[in-house]
Amino acid sequence: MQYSDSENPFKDNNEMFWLSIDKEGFEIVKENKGIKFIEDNKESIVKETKIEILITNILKNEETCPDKLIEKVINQIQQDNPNDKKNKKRYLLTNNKIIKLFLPLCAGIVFVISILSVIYISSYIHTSTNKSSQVLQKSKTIEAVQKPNTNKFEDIIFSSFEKNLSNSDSKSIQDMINSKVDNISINIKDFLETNNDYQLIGYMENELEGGKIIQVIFDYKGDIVRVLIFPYSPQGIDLIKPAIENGVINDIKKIENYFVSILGETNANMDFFQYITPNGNNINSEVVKDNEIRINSNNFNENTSNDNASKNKFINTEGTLFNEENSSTIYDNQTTNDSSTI
Amino acid sequence: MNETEFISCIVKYKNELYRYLKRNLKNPSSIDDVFSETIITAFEKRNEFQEGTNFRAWIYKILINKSFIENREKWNHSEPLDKYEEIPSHEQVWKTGNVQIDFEKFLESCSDETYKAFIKLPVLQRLCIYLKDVENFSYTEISEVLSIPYASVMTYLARGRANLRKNLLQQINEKATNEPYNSPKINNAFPKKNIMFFQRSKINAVF
Repeated sequence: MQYSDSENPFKDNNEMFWLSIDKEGFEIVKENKGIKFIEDNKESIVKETKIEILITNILKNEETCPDKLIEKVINQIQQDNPNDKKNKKRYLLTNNKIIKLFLPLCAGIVFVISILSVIYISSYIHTSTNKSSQVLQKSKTIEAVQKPNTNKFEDIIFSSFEKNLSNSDSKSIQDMINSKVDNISINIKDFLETNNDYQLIGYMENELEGGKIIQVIFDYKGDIVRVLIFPYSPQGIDLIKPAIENGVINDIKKIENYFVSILGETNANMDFFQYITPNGNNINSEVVKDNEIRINSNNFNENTSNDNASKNKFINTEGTLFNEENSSTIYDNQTTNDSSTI
Repeated sequence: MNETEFISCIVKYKNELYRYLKRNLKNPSSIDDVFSETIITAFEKRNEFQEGTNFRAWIYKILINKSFIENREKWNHSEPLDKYEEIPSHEQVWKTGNVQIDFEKFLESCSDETYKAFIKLPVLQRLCIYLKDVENFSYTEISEVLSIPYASVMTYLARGRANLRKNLLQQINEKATNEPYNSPKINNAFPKKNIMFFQRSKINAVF
């Protein structure tokens, strides 16, 4: 039967007897069974106690743990102990003279290297920033050079419309224009008489390097139509080229030393070119397609002669460069009356 | 518990821990390994030890677990006591084998047989006897180390003591049967006045 703490385990005399042979058990038996039980079994208890002591002595036999074993185990503990490793590190850091000298030296080297690296990085950043800014400036310059000067054209043609416009009758404007341009004469009066839908609004004149830009402004059924007359020069080409590329120009024709172009928000068929005639009956007009313009102003003079026309370079409205084998054929087939084909 | 305190405790109890293994391990060659394992495990778990409690009992728990594993013994706390017979009285024990011997003299000379008789005991009986008699643990400490009730400690102890004597008598009988008549060891342990040897000599004389 299994005893529990709550039950009285001392009901078995045999168990009590065997417990009584050690000191603690003896006291328990004495307390629970009384002195009579002890006295009744005195001889047996003494005998068994002696036997128990003999057995205990045999089992004890004064075994001692070998010193090597315990040293080995303690060393193993200390090696595996991370705290001990930390302590060793601390000890080394605090007591080792070599490390004491070496640490400041290392710290100094690290400090110098870090300062040098900071200086190098900052100088590198500075130079790279300068380079990038220079590159940016260069690119801006190039861009400014290469950028189609549409704004310049629009500034000149449109911005001063209110300011410089001077209303006059057709005859006085016609005379004024003819006095300002050489080699060609303009007959505005006949144009207005022939084309009743057009009404003369005015005349405008702007300065251009190497000449003037003359505008004759008409009203066509509520829309503004402009006739531009400006010198056939590199400056004139630079001015008009972006306008052509952007499709602002409706029609353009070279007459003697001038470009005559027509601008407007209308699709009206404007035969104004018929009323511009070269002086001296030397009609040498060339029609330039609105999607073609000479871009090499250095070769401008060469381009004007038919001898070198075969090597001319042209650019279309999308800016694609192409060679024209015999550009003169373009012009030869164009007459002042062929504006409708342009 | 810091490392220094732990080591000082281990140094204090090293001999009795070692002795326990020497007495309770079935394979003597593994004593050093089990001892090292026990100390290292205790060191790793030293934070689980509550300051002010019994370090000796705590480390014995680890030691006993390790020795159980090594001996491949079952740690059966719930082993019912009623599967045993009633605890024999000392008179019943000494009547076993129907011989009358000088038991004290036998013990003085035959430590190996005593150890064999001891190791044959069931685990809990053996441990209770060892911890109480050899290492002088109190009943309460034994109860704590073995994680068994206080009353069970007393029962295992009483039953173990009775069984130990039975085992010793069995060892004596085996020795008497197997050893030659004129074995000096036996002769020293048991003089000719020993009844058992007298009977054997009588039998030899007959044949």
